[in-house]
Amino acid sequence: MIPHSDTITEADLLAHADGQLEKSRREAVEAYLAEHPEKAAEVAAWRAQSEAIGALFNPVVSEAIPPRLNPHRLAHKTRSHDNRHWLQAVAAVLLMVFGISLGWYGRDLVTRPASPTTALMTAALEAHQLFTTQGKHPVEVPGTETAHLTTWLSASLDRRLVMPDLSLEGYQLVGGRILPAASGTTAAQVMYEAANGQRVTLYLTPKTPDQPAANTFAASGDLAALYWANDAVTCTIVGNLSRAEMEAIASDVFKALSWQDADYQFG
Amino acid sequence: MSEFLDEVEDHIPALRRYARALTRNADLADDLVQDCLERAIRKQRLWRPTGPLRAWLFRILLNIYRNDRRRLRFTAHAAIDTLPVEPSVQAAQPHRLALAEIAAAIDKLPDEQREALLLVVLEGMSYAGAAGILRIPQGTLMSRLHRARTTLKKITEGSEEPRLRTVK
Repeated sequence: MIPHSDTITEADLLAHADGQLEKSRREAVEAYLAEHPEKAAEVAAWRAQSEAIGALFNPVVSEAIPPRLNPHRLAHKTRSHDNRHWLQAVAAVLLMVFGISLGWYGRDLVTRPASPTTALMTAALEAHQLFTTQGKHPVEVPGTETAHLTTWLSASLDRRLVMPDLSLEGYQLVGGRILPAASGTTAAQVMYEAANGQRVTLYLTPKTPDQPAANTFAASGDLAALYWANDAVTCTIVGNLSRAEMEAIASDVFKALSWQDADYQFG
Repeated sequence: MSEFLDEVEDHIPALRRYARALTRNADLADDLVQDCLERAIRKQRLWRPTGPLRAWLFRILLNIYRNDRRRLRFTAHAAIDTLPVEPSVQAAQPHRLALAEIAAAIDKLPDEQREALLLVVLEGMSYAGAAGILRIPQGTLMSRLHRARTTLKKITEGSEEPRLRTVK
């Protein structure tokens, strides 16, 4: 990429064809091309490709934009959509309160142990409430030491983990810690934070056979939790977010945690 | 709010062009752009006004495109649009043939090469900008571009020999 001043590399030729060379370098490349017609032909062919690609797709820019892509209209639609979600959430919470009361008063009638999923999600919610409110020591290992954090959490859970990148959703890695989990295993909590201070945590445990792979969503107070598992780990995402936002984050998280799947192609 | 929306609006023509080139289907492309815009609007409070909006929007678009592709929504370009009629340039038949060929050749490229090539060549992004959007090092980007261009040349060379031999 940074060649000696009189060696011209393929990278220089490419950058020249793409118009990305600075002036001094450009002159050197032009002098070189004058003496190497076969290279000049290659660069000309690349430029012809660029022209063809432009000719193919540039007309799209002057097309009329369909009304459905008007951002103001979409914003309006998104808002009313979110309101609907909010109403649904209220309904869900009311139903849950009703259900919990029913369960509480009926506890003597039927004694049934909590499902493994519920137990995990409860633990994840508790851990979230405990540690996201810690201003000073929210994590044991900061996200700046990603490699160390990854190794340490992977060793603690005996699973190969990766720290999902949520920057596209606006969240930066704060760091992680380990916690005792049910039946003598270890759980890992990984914390993320948005620019506005909003925090999201992932609660990871090694997967045991009794834990289902089905996704489960639950809300408790302000917090929402989304449970998911693959063959290796369970992951519960906790945050003070709408279901749509949770699912957007979830798709990034699950993708990252499933990186070893054969069909996973994108990094 | 509406200032953000106005800024977003400025980027729609380019997003549509890129989506069209990726999917080669006008409806799928606009679906993709619509998904992208909806997601951007929902996420706008997380977008810091200091960062470049264009890069952020393209990243969202690419992310959705990749997810959709994994869900096989765009499998094998099920319904490729007919090629646009060539913009009124005099050079008639041979050039037009070359366009169709280039379009078909782009479709044959691996996804990662097509995504990179179109960002740089079609959207005019700098290497650094495109590498940032794809979240790969600049060297990786350049090697993808180089491979893409070499493949395109190989595919189109057969029938285009005379034109490509032109040397100035």
